[in-house]
Amino acid sequence: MGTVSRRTFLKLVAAGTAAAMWQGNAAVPAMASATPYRLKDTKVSPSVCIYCGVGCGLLVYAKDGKVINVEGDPDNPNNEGGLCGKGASAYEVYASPKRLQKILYRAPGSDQWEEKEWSWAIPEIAKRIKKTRDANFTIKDGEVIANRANALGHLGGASHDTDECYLLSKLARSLGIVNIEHQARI
Amino acid sequence: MARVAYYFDSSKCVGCHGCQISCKQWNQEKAVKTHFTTGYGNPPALSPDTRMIMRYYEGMEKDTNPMNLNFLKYQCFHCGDPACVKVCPSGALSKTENGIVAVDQDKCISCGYCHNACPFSIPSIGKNVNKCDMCLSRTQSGNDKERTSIPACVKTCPAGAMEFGDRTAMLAKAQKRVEWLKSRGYQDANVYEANSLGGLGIVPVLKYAPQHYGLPANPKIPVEVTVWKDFFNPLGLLMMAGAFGVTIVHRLMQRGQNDNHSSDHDAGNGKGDM
Repeated sequence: MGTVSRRTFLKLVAAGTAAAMWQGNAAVPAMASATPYRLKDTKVSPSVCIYCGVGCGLLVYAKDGKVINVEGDPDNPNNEGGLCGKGASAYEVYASPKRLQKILYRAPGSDQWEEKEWSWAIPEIAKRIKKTRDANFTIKDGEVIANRANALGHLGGASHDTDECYLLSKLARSLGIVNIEHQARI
Repeated sequence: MARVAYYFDSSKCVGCHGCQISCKQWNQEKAVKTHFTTGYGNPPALSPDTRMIMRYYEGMEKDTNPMNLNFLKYQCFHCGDPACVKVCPSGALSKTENGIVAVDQDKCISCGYCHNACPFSIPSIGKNVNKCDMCLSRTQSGNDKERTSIPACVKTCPAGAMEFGDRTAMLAKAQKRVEWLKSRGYQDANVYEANSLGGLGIVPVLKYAPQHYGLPANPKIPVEVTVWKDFFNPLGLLMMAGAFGVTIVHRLMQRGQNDNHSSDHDAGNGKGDM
């Protein structure tokens, strides 16, 4: 018979409805994660948290030259992979739209910020260090040779790793600075 | 496959928000502007942009220790018998082999059935459903060396208040901790509802009774969900199958009768039996 008989039609309807209902009720089988694993094909670099003095280790994950994730470094004895609320948000330091992208300069006495270039800022800092150092340098303290830059101080930050700290303190000492301090002391 | 679970120890938690922020960071949820509310928790509730929050509770020992502050890490409890999966009509929510209640946001139709069925009203419905999935992609694809194989919140905890692993081991650890707390004078210390709802996939050790943490003492799947999904739906299915069966039997019997009584007549007309 070319046409569908009433019996076959009823059978098909019943079977179809039952199948549809069954599918809706069946236990959903275990599935792979719907969201793809974000750290696939990423480059991992160890770093140091920028916030407090503990200096927790970070793992920075980059993909196609862009940082995509930051989390604690389990190999670091300070934090063993853990991070506090501030450290856990370290990715925002990189990604936040509020991040400073240009040098802002406020002249003494001014209440306005001006945008400046690096080519202006670094020579300017050097110039001012030299000026202050020359004006306040103590060559001799009584009979003793001191070679001390009294008016200068140097403050390090927790984001510096050991090598950077070594180089920066070496620079400071070579300038004659004795007031060398580090945020990690707090 | 054995069930996995989080262990959360409210007596070790320092309330630093590390887990909450690493959760947002890992799941790439946007920050939302909130208003100051009482207590230190912020955002104040779970939302389509927040899967997990820290909740703060004061006043458990008003007389002896007025500065006493307590914390609860609050997110999906990953029930062993999840009402949300039961009711989800689109298959967006499902249970994995190891007991994680997983989410596929692309499949979600935002009907809100899961939010209403959940004993804790945890799934948040925005454009799609949002709730903790125990960092499923991490637990499936991460590595142990960088500890990317455990959920982001567990990895980040600096106080050692959290652990992720086999549920039986986590329960044993929790029981031990409760006994220790009891020996230190916290008489109400408990493991929150280890056997309710098919066994929760979060094993929180609470220093005080659950109601101090805003948790229901005996969470239950709403009766209408149980009645509809466990009784009426299978019944409907059964009736459908029954009706189908009866139809076949009836038709067979009728055909038999037709064959007996009117085969000559039918053959003469050149028609089928229908």
